[in-house]
Amino acid sequence: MEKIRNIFKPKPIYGYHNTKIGYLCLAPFLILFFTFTILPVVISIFLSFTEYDMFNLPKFVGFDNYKFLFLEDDIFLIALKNTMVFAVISGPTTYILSFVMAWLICRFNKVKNFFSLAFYAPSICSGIALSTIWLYFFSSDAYGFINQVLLNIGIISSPILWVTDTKYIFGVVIFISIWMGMGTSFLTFIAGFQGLSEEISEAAKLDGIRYASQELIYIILPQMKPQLLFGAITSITAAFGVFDIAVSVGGLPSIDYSAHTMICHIYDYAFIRFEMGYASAVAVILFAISLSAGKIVRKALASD
Amino acid sequence: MKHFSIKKNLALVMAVAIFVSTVLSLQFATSAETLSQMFKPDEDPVEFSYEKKDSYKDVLKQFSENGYKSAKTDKITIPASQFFIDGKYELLDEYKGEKSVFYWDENTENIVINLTVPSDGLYTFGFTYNSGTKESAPIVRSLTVDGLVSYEDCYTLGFNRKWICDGKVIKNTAGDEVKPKSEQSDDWQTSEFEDYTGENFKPYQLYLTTGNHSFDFKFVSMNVYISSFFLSSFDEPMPYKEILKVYKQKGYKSSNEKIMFEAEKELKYSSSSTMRVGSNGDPSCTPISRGYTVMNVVGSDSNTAGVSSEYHFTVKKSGLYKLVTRTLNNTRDGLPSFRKIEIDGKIPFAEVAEYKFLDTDKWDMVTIGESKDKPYLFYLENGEHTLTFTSLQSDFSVINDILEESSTKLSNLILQINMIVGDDPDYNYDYHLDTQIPELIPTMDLLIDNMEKAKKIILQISEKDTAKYNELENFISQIEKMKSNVFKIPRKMKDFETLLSQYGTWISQFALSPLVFDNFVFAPEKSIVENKKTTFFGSLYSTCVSFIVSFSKDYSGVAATAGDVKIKDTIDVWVSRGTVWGNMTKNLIDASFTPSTGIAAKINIVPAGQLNAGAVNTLMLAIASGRAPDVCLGVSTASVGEFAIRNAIKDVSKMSGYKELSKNFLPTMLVPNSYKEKVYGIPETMNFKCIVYRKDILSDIGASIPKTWDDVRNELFPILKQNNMEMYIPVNVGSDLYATFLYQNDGSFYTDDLERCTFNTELSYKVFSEAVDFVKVYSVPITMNFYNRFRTGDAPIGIADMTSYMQIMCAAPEIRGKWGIAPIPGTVSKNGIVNRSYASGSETSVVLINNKGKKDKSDLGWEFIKWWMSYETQVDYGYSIEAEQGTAARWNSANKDAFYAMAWDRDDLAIIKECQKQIDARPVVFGGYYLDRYINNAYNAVAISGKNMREQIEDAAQTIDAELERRRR
Repeated sequence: MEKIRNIFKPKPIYGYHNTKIGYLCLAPFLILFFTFTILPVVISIFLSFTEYDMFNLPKFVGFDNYKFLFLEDDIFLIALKNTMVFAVISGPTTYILSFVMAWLICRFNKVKNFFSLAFYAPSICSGIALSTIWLYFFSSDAYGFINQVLLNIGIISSPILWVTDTKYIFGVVIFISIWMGMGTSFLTFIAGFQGLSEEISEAAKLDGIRYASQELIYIILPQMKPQLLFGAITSITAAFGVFDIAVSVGGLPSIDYSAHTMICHIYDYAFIRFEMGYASAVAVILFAISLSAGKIVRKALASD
Repeated sequence: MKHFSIKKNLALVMAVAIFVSTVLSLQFATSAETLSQMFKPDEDPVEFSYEKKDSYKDVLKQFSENGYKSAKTDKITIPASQFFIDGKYELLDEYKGEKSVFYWDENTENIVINLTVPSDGLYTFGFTYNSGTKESAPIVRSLTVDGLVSYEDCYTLGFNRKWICDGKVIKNTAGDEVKPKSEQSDDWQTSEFEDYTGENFKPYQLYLTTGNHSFDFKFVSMNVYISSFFLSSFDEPMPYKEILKVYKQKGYKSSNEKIMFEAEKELKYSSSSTMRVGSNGDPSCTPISRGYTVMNVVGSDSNTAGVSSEYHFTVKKSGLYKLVTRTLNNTRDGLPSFRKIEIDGKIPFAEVAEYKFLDTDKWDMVTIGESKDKPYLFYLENGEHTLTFTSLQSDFSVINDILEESSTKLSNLILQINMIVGDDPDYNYDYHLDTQIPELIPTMDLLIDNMEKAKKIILQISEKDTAKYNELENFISQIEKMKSNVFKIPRKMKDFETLLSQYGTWISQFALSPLVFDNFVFAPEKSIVENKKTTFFGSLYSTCVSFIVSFSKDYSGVAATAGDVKIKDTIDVWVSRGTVWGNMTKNLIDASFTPSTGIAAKINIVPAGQLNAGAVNTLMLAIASGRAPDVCLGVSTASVGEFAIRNAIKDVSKMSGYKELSKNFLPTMLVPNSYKEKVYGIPETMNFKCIVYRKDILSDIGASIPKTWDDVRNELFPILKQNNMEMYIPVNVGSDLYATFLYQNDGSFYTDDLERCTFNTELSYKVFSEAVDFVKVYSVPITMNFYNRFRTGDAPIGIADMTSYMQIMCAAPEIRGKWGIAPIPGTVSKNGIVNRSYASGSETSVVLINNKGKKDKSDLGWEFIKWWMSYETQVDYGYSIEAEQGTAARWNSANKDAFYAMAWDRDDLAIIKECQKQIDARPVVFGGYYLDRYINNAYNAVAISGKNMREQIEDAAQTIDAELERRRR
């Protein structure tokens, strides 16, 4: 009897015995996370204080890389500006658009699955492949889809050089990224909407909520905090990591650095100029920026 | 203080330069006319002629209208000793068993054969010849009879080559069967000239009257051994009904024996190196392939018409047989393929002269006959026999004629419309095209009519609904819409152009004749030959096996095929090219390098482009981790300098035999491979740039080929603009264009000590504005699909590199013979010579890796490089690649003699050689990539965004100099 009772006796949750198994279960992830995420970050912080061309051993140079980065490198400023502009425009836009889309689509139960797929599909495809498709639209000759339409309507008289003229390149990159980036947040939001509690809505209706907008602000949003947070973080990190779309649209380096983002800058130094040390320094700065951006977003959403 | 003085000096120099140039330009302005006459280059202007002849089809029609019949005559043979041969030549006493043989190479311009014809009638003609075994390019001669060209095809009479397929397959160490190397037979062949595009099953015929005639053959390309010429006549095959009567008369009985043979085992000869054994993964094919490549079929989806393949088989019992063959024809959306079937070199009866193999979804047993139950019977004596299948266009050639006519009409129409509306039409203006161009509506009617005809033929021959039928219908409705609303035509020009390029696509698709053979069965009339079906579980099993095998199989390494050679050592070689190229390299290594040196080479294929500057460089990562190869092929020349500067690759200039090896290359090819008087890479490929132009169109509009850029601006551009045409100048890469003008003005990119750029000097300023003006002043389009617009003719002239040249050569059949090449325009220098220098496109190099992590094998690697870049290897490689991949894949070896040894058009090669001499290159400088980047930026800023030129140039020069200095530190 005693034995049987023991089996049914709830085990202590924080016991030494259980943590061991818990860590064991976590181990595969932790090991991978450590080797492929933590370690590279540490190494690149170390490398950022050296001069390293991959063929010869790294040479310690102190803060030289950072000095050059902040005081002399004009292109870094362009890249920083571009990345910031990109993050400010595309991050929130993607976020808000996908939320609104998800909210709208959730109200039409029949087409929900179709639209979910349609929105999600772009984000699982490779950015380069999709840019190729979009380049048909933005082709610079008179036969690019958009040029053709604009010419036909009579808005423009000669084709716009979408991907050659520095005025437009970055806009095109932002546009494609927004379209592509909506998928993940959209899916999260859809899931969030599905998890909403019917009872609260009904109660709210009884309490006098009338419009959909009221329901959205007072009932839905507070319930969806976790999804909102997740969506925000993914949008922001995606915005800082923009690279392959920028390269396939604008080239590397793009004309007059018009689509030069931080990652482009890192790539340029690492793989074209073979300056790993300097590239690491830029990477460290980017890391710091996106880390703090994430922090800010978390704070902003959590304080509600 | 020092800084200040430099600035001061610079200012002084600039002031002087400005002064001098102003004075000079003043002088130029006052006597521009006389000067341009004085400096007029003294070479002859590039001349071209263009003349159109009747097509062979038209001539055939005339024959039948006039009631000409095949002549009744025995074969008339004229031995080579009786030829009248122009120029130096030698008659070989004996060659491969034939006496007094004439070796016809490019030194002999033409030969004349006089003969007497016994009776009026149609004759076929040909040579007894030996094609030699080395080259694979077509042997072509042109013919005039009694001083006249009888029809267009007489310009390009081709001698067929005979490729050996001996049924032997080699297995490599990975367990895959490998296609044997294409080899040519050195047997003597006697065959009539026939259409190499397989339009018709008959050889070419000529109508000759009784009496004396003279045949004048002219050299066009490639060498050939000739022993005799002959005239003969073509015997029309009898209809099957007649043959049946003959069978009855002679009392032939159906045999009771079944003869079955695998196509891939019994294929002996083919007329094209691409017609070979292949592998098919379908589990119903015999022998079956399970995860490994097995050669089990003959033919492929890309077989063109006009190719024959010969199978050998033995009959044990004389009698009548039906022929059943297991085939697959499923790649053309329902279109059939035609084959001429010959037994022992003769067409047995008329019905199989152009036999139709209908489209099949899956592998199918096809019984040659009226239907499955009514097979044709073939009489076979016991003994050895040959079975020959020749792919034909047959009815498709009728469609192609229609399409070609439409294509010419349409491209003329597009030209005419463009002349009126220009390349930037106002869509809201009514151009009244139907009254402006009287032919507009009739031409569109003709286009519709022709497509209707083509539609009908397709429906009739394919016996079902096909994709092509529907495509045609779509285009018909489009044209009809345009016809009903002429006002909208200017904004629908794209549709016209799509249709035009569609014509090209259709024509090339209809010229294909895909059909894959698995096996052949000669069987008794009443017997049943079962088709082995692919079951669902069969495919599933097969796929699973392949999937499992894929875990253990190494796909990136190229397995060895070498036999027993004592191997001293092994080197690692990376090839940054496609698999076919890698395999070919490996085959050559196994066949010649390893046996002669005892050094084995392990080949690894790296995706092409991965060793380019700017990509994540696999080689760099490999060197950093100590796993780099010993030698790397296909490294982009631009990254050689980058590697050299970082001490990642070896200086080869001190290696033994470098001096001899370097003589193989043009000196400029070595410049980008050198750094500080050391050589780090051996050039592997080279490129060229030239002008390509449409002879027909330029002579129509009365333009000549420009020799200088002044000619382009002052003579060509006005004429082209008047006709609403364009010249293609690659203005999208500013630095290339800038380099061209810089070199032509004897400028260079760097100061002599290579420490600063010269971008802000007066000369640079001048040539930069010259480059920018093409966009700003002459509005040359920044993006243009030159290949398409060259074909339509609205960009009848342009600057092309080797890729474009080969593309136009191979993929624009409708303008064959209507275009030519010329050196690129130059700049007249002070002493009156036209300087045509330019910067060449991308090339690749071979490098010897400085591998720190591993044992040093640079001596062995160097041996390999010397062997690889030698004339023999490069020629062998070039021909093998072309035999395997077709002419478009011509190998542009940097070894100049090997480059020239490829099957170039003779006249073109002379110009290409000239063009290659003009290539200029710039030295490697640490930080040099900044130069291109900033020159391009400045170029775009000025040409596209319209910014101030002086400001852009000064900014760019400053940034470049700063980077160069930073790099030197």
